[in-house]
Amino acid sequence: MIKITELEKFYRTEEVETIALNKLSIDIKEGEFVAIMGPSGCGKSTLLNILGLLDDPDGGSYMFNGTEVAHFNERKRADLRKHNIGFVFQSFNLIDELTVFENVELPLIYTGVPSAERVSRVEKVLDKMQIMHRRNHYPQQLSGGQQQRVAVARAVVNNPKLILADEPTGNLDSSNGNEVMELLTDLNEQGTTIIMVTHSEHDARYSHRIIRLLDGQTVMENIMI
Amino acid sequence: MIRNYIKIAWRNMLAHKVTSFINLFGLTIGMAAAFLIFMWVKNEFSFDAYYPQAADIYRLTTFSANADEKTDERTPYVLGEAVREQIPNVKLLTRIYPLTIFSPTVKAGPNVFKDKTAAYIDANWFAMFPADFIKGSAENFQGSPNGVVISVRNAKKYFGDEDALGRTLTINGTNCTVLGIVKNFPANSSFRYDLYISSALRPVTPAMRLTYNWANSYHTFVKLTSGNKFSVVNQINKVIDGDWKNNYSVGLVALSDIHFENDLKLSVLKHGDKKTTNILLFLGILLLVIACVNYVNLTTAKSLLRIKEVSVKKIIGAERWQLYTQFTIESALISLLALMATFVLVFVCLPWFNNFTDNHFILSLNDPSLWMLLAATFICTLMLNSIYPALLLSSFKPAVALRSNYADNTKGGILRRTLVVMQFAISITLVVVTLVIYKQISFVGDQYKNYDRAQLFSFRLPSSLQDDAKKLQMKGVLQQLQAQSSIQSAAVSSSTDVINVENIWGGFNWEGRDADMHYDITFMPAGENFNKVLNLQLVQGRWFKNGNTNDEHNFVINQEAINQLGLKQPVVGQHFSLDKDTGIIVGVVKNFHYLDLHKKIGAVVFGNNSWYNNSFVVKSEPGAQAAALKAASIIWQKYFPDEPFDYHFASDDFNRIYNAEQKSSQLVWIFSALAILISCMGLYALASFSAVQRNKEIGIRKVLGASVAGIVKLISIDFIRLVFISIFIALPIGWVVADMWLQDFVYRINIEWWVFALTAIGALVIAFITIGFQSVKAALANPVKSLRSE
Repeated sequence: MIKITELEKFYRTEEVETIALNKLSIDIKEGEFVAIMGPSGCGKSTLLNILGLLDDPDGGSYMFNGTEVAHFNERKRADLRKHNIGFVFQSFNLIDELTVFENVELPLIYTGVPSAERVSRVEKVLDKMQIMHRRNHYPQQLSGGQQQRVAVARAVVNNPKLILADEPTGNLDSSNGNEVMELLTDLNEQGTTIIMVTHSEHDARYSHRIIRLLDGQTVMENIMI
Repeated sequence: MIRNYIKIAWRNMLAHKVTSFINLFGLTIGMAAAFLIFMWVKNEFSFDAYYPQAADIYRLTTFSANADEKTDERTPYVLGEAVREQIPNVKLLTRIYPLTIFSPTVKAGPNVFKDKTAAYIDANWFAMFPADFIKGSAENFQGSPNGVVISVRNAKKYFGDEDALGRTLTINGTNCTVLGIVKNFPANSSFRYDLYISSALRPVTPAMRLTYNWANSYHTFVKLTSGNKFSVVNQINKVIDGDWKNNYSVGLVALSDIHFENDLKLSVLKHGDKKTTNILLFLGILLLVIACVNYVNLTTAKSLLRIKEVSVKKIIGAERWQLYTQFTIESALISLLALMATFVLVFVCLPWFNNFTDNHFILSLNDPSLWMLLAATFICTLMLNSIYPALLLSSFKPAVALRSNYADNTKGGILRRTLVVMQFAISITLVVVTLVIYKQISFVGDQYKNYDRAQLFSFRLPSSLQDDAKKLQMKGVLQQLQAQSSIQSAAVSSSTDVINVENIWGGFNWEGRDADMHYDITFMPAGENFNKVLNLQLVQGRWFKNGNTNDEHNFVINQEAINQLGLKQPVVGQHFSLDKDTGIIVGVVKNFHYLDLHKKIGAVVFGNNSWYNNSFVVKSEPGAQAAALKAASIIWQKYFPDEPFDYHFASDDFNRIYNAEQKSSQLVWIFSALAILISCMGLYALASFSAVQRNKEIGIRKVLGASVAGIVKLISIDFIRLVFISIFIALPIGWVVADMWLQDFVYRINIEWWVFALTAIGALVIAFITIGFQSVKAALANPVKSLRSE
């Protein structure tokens, strides 16, 4: 599903150039659950941003479902993103001015789903995430775990092929963290490919494969049995 | 999707109440001011355009062969007759004879009125200038020589709530019948009359008709078959007769140009001033811009709070145009709310505005132009306040912004600073101009200080009096006035005006006169004691003496006359004549202001021939104005029991003459106050955002030992620097603008340094107070709290 070859990314200031990704090559198959680990500054988030088409690589190739997408323009990226990729963040990133229902509904609005269908799909996914009873609450009225469940609901409401999760349990206690990991595992079992950046060995154990990065390069891959 | 945008915008507004209030308040004030001004400007530019085929209507205008004589809006009655009979291209011709100066005495039952908004009109007037007849008709009026048409306003004035149609009015002693009642004239009409009298009723004796046959007395209007103006002008000039042809020629002025005519002598119409109209339009737009600047500044400053929202939306699939649309809709929403508030504010302010502009604007919800004006105001506002913030907000890169919750703070920063400088520069310029206008107005008032305007009033004898009777009664009235204890002095004159006497006469002669040279001499016929009433200072000779019959042919002149006429010393005793009236110069008075201060003092000659006089100028004892007025009115009643006592004070004349300047002064004052208020509100909000943005920095500095004063300085210094820049930009601009305004006055103040110093200090103090509150609040906050929240 994803094939990156010799991917490069540099960050430049006036005086210093930092290499974030150094000719990195990774292959991820459809239905996989991959964890990316490594110390701070190793390039995990940069990789995730490029995979999510939020950032441009400076070199190399990024094939998504057989199409070279590394140099897609803004409009094509937005289009690919909204139909294929869901995001889950450490800090949830829900929109404070919208209710739970409205936050989850938002991706469907941007993909042009008719109103009646939106309602049924949002209700279905809220139900699945067991957050239906909070549908009219605002994010600040929810616990961290509940907020992350809403964020997962928002990520999956468009039935994306790929979910990118950036330290999804980083702001949660262990019990809520486990719940979120269970959710991701369920989604993966239903066929969604998941790439997760994490610092937590515990969370990484939910995945099929762990890719360890250092200085923008793969240093080790662990296949989980 | 739009519902979603509106929802977010609404919730955002509620979440940031202070900013929303500042935005709404500023926009409402700016839009309301702009709307009122747009309404006024539209009215000014639409004068008389509503008459059918207005483009084909012209007024005959008299041009003098003498280059110094101004254009006259009046033409002779007989010229109209000749044009009507001889020029086939004139489809319709009609005349009006306004009675603005010699207002008629109107009796309606027991009530007597002096009606200043009356005019004689030709029977076919309403064929060219149709009016909205509520009762009666133009046809009835056309068919009856004794008919009058009155406005709703006058029907109420004359007959209260009773039906006025068919009732009798006695106008200058002649009975007339009300044959029509028309709606009050609209705000954009040059013809502002409430009483239309048939020309057939004009008391013109055969002798007068002979004398005045070719006198310029009527406003003559023609409706042409389209597109033949120039050939008609040639044809008209060919039908002009005899002597008149030697001195005058005729031109045509389009009806649409009449309102802005500014080269006429003694016009009785309500004219506009294109310069003032354009300046006001500019000021209105400026205020709207200042209000929009607040919106742009606050929205871009607040953008930090919207990073997450924009980034998340981009990540889950929003395209830039969708976000741009969202923020434009937010601007539209707030502009729409402001528009609603504007609508209410305009309705509330309308009576004041009508009073201020001396107009009768009516806001009717059925009037499409009202909606067009509101739409224009709304679109201007939306364009000013939506484009940049929407572009900025939709431009954030989600990966960068979300990772660090950071937006490039310099983005929009330079623009924000520029806009603050612009706002304050405009406000400071307006303050400088306000101060200069105020100083000049008070300087103008001081120039007439040889007499107290509030003590001086004047009135005119009924115009119907014949010469001998007039002479006798003037003497009697004058003696009785002078005998009153409440009256300090009284004198006869040829005019009730003392502040703006434009009475240029020809026919003077004197020793050593250069026959080829043209002289402008203002002739002021005035009797004994006139010098005391106006407190004129004699520098040579004497004033006219009571009982000295020679003085009837003698003259007094002002100092300027000596220079302009080239008189040699000794002036007193030299021969001087006006037509056949030959006498000597008996005195010279010090120059005094008899014109408004836009004009230079010229040569003035006073004559004492009673033939000219028809008015009284009365100076009451200080504080005895009411008693003097009462005494004069009792004397009047004794002599003219059937005529209403119609008087006016010199202070009223003063206010009328300087009305435009006084209004400009008030208006610029209001504009500058609003501009400062809106700018300060914007500054307040920016300072508060700055304090929020620098929360962590302030916390760290406090932990490291910074004092409250140091923190206040830290936050304030940036803004104070901007106000300083504004001051340096605005003061020279203010000086140039004020100096341009002053150039219209021949007699004017020098702009003094303290005007600039006062404005600069005022601006800094106001700005510091505005920012200071936020700075002190930030400086007093607990650093632990701000650091923890970071």
